[in-house]
Amino acid sequence: MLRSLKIPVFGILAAGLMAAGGLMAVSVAWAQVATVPAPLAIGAAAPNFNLPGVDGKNHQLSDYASAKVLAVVFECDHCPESELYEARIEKLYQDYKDKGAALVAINPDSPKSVRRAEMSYSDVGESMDDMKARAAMSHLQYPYLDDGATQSASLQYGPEAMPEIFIFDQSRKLRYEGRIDDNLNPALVKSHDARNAIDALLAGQPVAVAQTVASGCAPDWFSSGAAAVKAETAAIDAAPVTLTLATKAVLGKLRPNPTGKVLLINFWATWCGPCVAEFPDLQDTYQMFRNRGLAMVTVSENDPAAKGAVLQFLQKEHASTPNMVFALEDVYAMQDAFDPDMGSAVPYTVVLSPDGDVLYQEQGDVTILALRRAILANLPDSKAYPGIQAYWAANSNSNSN
Amino acid sequence: MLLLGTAAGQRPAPVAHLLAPSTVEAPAHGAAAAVFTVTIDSGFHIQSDHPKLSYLIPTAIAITPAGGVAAVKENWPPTVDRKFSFAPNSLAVFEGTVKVPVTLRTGRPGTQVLHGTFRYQACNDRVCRAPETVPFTFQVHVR
Repeated sequence: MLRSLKIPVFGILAAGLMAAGGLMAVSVAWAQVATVPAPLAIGAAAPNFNLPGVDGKNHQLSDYASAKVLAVVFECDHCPESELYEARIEKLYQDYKDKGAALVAINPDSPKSVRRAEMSYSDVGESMDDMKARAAMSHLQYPYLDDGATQSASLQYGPEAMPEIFIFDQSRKLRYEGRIDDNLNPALVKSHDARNAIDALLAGQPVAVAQTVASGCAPDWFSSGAAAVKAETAAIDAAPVTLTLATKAVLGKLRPNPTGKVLLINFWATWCGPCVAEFPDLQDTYQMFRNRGLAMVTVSENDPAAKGAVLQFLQKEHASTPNMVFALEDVYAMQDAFDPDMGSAVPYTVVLSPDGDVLYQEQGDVTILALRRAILANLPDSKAYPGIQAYWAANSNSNSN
Repeated sequence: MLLLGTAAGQRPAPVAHLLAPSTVEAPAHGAAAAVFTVTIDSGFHIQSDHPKLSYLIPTAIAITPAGGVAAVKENWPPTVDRKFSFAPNSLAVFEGTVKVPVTLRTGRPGTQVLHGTFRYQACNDRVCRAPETVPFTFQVHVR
């Protein structure tokens, strides 16, 4: 069954770089009407799926035929609610796998339909490699399947929010659909809805509460998400690209971090292969987190006479960050003006706290997930997602990628 | 984390070194080769004299003409094709020790001191040093 839903379409009303953070003003127009699936009805048969998992194997419904109960969870990488529920989903899987209840998770999202701004609580996007990175970081043992290629399985189940769980009895009729429990904070949970449903079905009892409302990110269906991604890319591409001279005085003021925000600074040069290669990932990182208060500055160590070539490169990369180029040819004097301890080579990337403390630094190409995890661990916690900073702080030293 | 460089505030030690010939013997109104030796520290490379990517800085030896003696050609040896994690295709680089004969044209007899510069830009597989321009001098004895 399909139904209509209004979804936000992003368009630029006014674009301009703000001096401190380079934030671009965007507006949201609730205009486009898209078609999204309705959730599977209670009593309906489990739709088949045949999807690749992070374990390298294909999984289909019949693989779980021996289980008395099958739970199908819809979740994704970038959604903070999904992140905060990962451990609970893993515990559900572990607690019931030897009791006759199987659990499988399906990710309906795709890089084609998730905007960078939506990834403001995530180190990764929604590709299979991203899913593998998340499963490794969070030590997820349950099957985590990628439906991002076609969304064909997800469209049949019709999840409205992630995480959302569909629990089937032995005849694979849907007996429960909705939330996993009633609170994002595990310490405040009063109603363990999914566990109650599984326990009832394993005991041969009817499920007392068959439906609840799941809370979380809506799947980014192709019908709406692809256009939103396109609009976001167009807005980023249209943002002005600027380049100013970095004098010794400017560099000296940059090091203590005058922005009042978490500040990412990337020293690079057009003649530096590793710098050029990682530049797009760093710009994507800025686009992911800038609305959560990340500031970013790029500093080119090119000769000031090469300002034209530097600007040309920045324009090609749509670098809407504040960008600087060394004002003097003496690279080493300029590096010293920023920080005598920064080393002599590029790329050099540093993340500073609002107080100027070094949160992360790397001389050489960054490990992008390590960089993003360090940023996420230091961005402010969210009232909407309490515990999300702690989640990332716990994972900021993970080397899984 | 890989930190390259020296103590704070100091210029880092170079990773490529040019040895110019002390004296070149050459016939008057003729040609001779001045052979330069470039040694690159282990783990580093410098770019080709004709790099595959336009943004890379070519290695070059430039000599200012003096007293009728002028450099007319740098004869760089073949480069090494090396694949690095940051580039999808291999790059043409110099590694180790490289001999570079530079063809000189001469005029009338006499001894000339020539000045020149060696320009290079060094990287390893993760970082790059700033381009360096190193001056040198050598003597040409035209007979």
